[in-house]
Amino acid sequence: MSSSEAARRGLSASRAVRRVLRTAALIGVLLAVPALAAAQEFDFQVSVLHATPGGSVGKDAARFDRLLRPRVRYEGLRVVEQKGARLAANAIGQVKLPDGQRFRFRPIDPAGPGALVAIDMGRTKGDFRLRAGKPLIFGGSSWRGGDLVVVLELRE
Amino acid sequence: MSDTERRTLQLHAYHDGELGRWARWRFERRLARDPDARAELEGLRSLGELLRESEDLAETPDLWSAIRPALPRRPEAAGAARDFGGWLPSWAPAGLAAAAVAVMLAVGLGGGDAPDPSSLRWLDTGGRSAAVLQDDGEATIIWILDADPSTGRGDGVVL
Repeated sequence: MSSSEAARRGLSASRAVRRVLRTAALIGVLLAVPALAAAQEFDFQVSVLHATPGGSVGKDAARFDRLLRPRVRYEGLRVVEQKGARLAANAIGQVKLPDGQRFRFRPIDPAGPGALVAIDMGRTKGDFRLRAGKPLIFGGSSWRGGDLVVVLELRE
Repeated sequence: MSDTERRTLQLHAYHDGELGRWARWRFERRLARDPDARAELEGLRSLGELLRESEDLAETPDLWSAIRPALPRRPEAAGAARDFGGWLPSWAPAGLAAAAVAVMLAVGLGGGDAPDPSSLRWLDTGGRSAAVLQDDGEATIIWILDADPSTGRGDGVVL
């Protein structure tokens, strides 16, 4: 085999290696894109509480009580309902509240930190930047001699 | 962010010397392949030179030296100058205050990368009174003061 033929063979082998590497990279990208899209999901928890002028604080409402007690006047606090939802960006989560209202929430911008979430509860609407471990609390709807309190949390 | 926007940002960062060693090397490789990017970079460079030239040309007249003798001298300003040991001009306290404000503004504006602990971006209570009882790094508490139940409508995943 002449030296020029050997060089030509070496060149074509290196081209083949490069082609294989490019194909592998392309496959990697194609696999990564749906994986990234799937990663744009958010884990929410909605807690519906009832704050009353009498009664006691339920065990499962204790952590909300610590936040609410310094700011709102009530005696009793208990969890009426608690639900979780895993939502993709722009998907709508909805909880029917005991007073007939619907509490709806929608992650509209997944770009961090946390998620920008649009909220809709009766006539109240708003956008909030939710972060994990930092609850968003809505209160004030009268129900059964007390107030309904809705807590939306983004979980890790 | 689109590819074009990303490229423009990279181009500006490269031009301003803000890219790290690895990013700079990658961008230079890209520049070598992309004549449009090279032309854009050249445009940025010539724009920078033009700005520098115009800065050099634009001489700011020292108006203060002309205005100052014409201003009435306030006795307390003279006292303030004495308090500063007499070697500072009478407008030094005002200058220091302005500098302090500028520093505070710079610190405030420079803190753009610091995470904003508040959550509330926009709120419409439909004409009802509401109070934001708390909005910090711990929690956001919104209280609708005269809430009345009205059933919302629309599609969505009922949990």
